[in-house]
Amino acid sequence: MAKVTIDGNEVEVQDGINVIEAAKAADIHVPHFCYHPSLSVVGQCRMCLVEVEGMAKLQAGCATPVKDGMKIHVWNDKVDKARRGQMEFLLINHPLDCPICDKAGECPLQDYSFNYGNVDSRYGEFKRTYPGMDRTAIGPHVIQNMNRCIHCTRCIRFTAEITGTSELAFFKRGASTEVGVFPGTPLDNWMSACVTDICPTGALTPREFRFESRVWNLDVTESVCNGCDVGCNIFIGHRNGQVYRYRPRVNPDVNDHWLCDYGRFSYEQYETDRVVVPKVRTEDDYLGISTWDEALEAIGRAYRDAKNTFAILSAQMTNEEASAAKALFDRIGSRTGVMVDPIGPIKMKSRTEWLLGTQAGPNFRGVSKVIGDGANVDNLLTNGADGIDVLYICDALFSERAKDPAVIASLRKAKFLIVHSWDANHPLCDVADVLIPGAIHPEKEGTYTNLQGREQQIHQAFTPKGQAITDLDTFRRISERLFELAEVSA
Amino acid sequence: MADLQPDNPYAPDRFPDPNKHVEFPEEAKKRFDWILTRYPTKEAALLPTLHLAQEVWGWISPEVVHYVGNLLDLSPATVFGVVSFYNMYNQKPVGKYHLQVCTNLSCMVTRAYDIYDHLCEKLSVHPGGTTKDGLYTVVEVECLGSCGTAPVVQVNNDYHESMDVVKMDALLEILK
Ligand code: SF4
Ligand code: SF4
Ligand code: FES
Ligand code: FES
Repeated sequence: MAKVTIDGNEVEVQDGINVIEAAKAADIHVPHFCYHPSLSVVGQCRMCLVEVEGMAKLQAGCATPVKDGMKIHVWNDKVDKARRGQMEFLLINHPLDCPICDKAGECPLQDYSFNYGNVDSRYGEFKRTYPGMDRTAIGPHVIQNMNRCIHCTRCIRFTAEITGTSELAFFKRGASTEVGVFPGTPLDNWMSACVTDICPTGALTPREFRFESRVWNLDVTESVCNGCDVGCNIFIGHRNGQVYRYRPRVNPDVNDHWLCDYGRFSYEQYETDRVVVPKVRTEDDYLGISTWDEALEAIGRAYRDAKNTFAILSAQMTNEEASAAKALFDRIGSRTGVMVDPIGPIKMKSRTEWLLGTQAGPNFRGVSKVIGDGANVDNLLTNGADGIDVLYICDALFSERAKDPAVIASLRKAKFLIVHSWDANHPLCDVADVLIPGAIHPEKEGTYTNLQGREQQIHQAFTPKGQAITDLDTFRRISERLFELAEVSA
Repeated sequence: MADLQPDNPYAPDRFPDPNKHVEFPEEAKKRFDWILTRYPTKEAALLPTLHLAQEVWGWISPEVVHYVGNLLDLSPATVFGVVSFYNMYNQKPVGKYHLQVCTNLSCMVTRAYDIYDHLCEKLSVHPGGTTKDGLYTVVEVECLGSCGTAPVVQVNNDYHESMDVVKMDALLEILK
């Protein structure tokens, strides 16, 4: 441990960490561009200059390890002047087109130029531009505007050190240096969009989010990605019940600063028709819109004299939903089972190790733990639901296999079929006897258990669409209808 | 994009031709193996390998970038980053005689531009261009480190010092 004084605050930090990290311990921010806690240190941007007592020149905070007894000044006149000078250099060629830049609002360069930039420029020459490189698609997800780049090499180091694919490199030299991909080798790897997070300018932006919304107009909710069982921590950016983007939320033990592209853009699946009202199959075999009361009544009737019942839970359920479902179905006397599709494997890098996501649901482990020794769902899908009186599917998306007509036919062999779904276009919706509107994952509150056994919280970003309610509420309503009301009337 | 850079073999929409087979001839392969033994890592052998490739093919084409990348386990972007950093790797085919006229300070004050302009006019090429017969390429280069004998013209790997227009003409007579 080293005792250092940073702007008069004495803090005790680990020996050998750099000044930027040490200052964090004292809650002091050292402006920087090229330094990134999960990438190697290159000391390229010179924005992080700090004064260390006893050293003649200002030191780069990212490349200066702390020693016991160091006295560091992050905010004084000398440092301030250096920073202003550095900013002036960086802004010589930067277009400062913040009004039409997607990064504006969360852009370190914009923030620092607000703090340190001059209102007018002393630079009389033309700005350097990169003709033809101002909206280049350098990969399926990433659009590059080279004019905005400040040559910090974060993106290059990301592809070299994290994904190991090295699609990006510096081409040419001096003032014409550009970040580029080699013709025919686009920035196309499974985590490519991460470069748009770490780019400290609007040079790299994700295609899917470009010009969708100004970032300050988005509400932000902490959640966990439901793409696979790694359970990357995310921020959901949303407004008016619509998801605009997922952004990684730093968790050094799980996803560090990263997200895979599959998970990052998985919210696009919600841009579809939603089931917003319950539906019940009428006597003339028509699946018509109903009230919640009618739907619950139909469910109650179905279970009343059913002997052989089965419930398929889903790896998309939270632990709380799974417990509620388990309690309900145990009370009914129904068998329960859960299955999960294989995926990937998706590689995700935490600060210390690679995690391998192999399940296409976020919470298979949690749900199976709740169920204990469950019934075999795979068998059911293959052999058909003959002899089952009531089959309750807690989430139409429990498996991709459920979209296969053959599987649907075999599930339909159950005498009565209850389906939860938020996706109105799911083929299972059409064959259900009772269709319950389900909630998507940004509409839920609860916990997921990831592959490390870590229970992680997700929060509700907005309330479910239309008359949809969360599964938790649905199970509560059903159990009220089946048991409490029954007791009252008895 | 391509129309902005009509003669750039590396324009973003001109992909390396997968049908073009690129491989070192036997003798070059032997030299490559020897180069590898001289460096602690494969990556470190990049510069000499590129020099070797340039010697074999005269320039570094996109296909060669891929080939060298494969040889050294480097991505094509990394290799091209190095190729485009150094002026002495040719990114376009050059003529049989690569006439590199130094126009940096010492050479400039000793009238290097006379030689340069004369060459361009006589061979009717644009600055940096190659004659139609593929014999000469004329380029302007920075200090060749031989200021004492300025002006200097480098032809392929040889220096021709204390040049002037007359001497240049005489030299052209020999280079055919
Ligand atoms: S990159 Fe940042 S500073 Fe540059 S235009 Fe965009 S928001 Fe403004
Ligand atoms: S594109 Fe962004 S991350 Fe990459 S070097 Fe430029 S400023 Fe840095
Ligand atoms: S952060 Fe230290 S030089 Fe860039
Ligand atoms: S200036 Fe021409 S050799 Fe130095």
